[in-house]
Amino acid sequence: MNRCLSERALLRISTEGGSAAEHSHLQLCADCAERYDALAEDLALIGGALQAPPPREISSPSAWRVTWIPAAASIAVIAAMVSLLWWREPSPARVATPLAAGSTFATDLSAALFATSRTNAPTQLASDAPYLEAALDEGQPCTRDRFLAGQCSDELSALLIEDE
Amino acid sequence: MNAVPVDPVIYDQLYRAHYARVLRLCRLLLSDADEAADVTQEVFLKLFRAAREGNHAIAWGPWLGKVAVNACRDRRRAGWWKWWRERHQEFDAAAFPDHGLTPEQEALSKETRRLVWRSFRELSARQQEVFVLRQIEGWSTEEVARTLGLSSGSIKRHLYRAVHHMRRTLRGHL
Repeated sequence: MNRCLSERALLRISTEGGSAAEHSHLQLCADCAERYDALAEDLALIGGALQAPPPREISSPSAWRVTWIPAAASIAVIAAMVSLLWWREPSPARVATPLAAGSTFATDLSAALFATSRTNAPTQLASDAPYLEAALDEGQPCTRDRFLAGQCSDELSALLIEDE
Repeated sequence: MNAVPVDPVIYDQLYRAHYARVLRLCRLLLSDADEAADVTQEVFLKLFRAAREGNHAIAWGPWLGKVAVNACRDRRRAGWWKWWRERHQEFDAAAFPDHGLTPEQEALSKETRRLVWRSFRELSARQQEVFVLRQIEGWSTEEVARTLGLSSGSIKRHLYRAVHHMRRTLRGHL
């Protein structure tokens, strides 16, 4: 056996005894013999350390290890609750929409009921009056041509309404 | 099977002969002093029951080891939080006062022991079981394989990985 022994083979020699060829290689190869001694030394060290009580931990990272998971879980739960509450509560945008609609409706209603604009009202009233009067009388409005023809006597309407 | 009276002298002898070994085995596998003591009591309760049932032909040493390994495994599987604690809680060293050490153990530096313990606890549960039974308890590969219900090849693989990991940790720090 000319090839150097693997770590697995060295462990097998240590625990199971190994084959005759492996033992002969160990006797001839200084490198493998040194590696085998290092393995045996490490195994003795590990075995001794584990059979002895563990040393007292000077610094214990367990505190943050023990607490970080519950802390993270708590934060996640709180965040979930806050987002849930935020989602269930009407948002300002959603509140503004019905308010705006109500405000518009109130403005329209107010304008309709308490119209204060004086600019169009007399003209509108004047221009509509002959038609309204004619409608009430079930007749034709008194236009200028009809007034001049003597078919009606409403001077105001004749002044305001021209025949098309 | 009819219960037979347990000879208190025999039970006491078994207890004295194996209690420390079983406790150490449970301590290694559970990394928790209280759990280890609790499981050790369970193991000896099972020993008492087995002896009362008249199983006097049993080789009690390997039997206790097998029962202890299974009891530790059951305890680890009892709940995820115990597994989590096993993985993350530092070993309660105060429960094991530093007395009764051999000269070789005394010679080991605390840093080395800390490294070894830490790397050991980083192993998987199966690797820990194999390493403890094969290297610490000195069982044969076949005995470990029978106890753990694995093949000999699997035992060798677990042992190699465990040794490789702990040596790498040690070599990386020493």
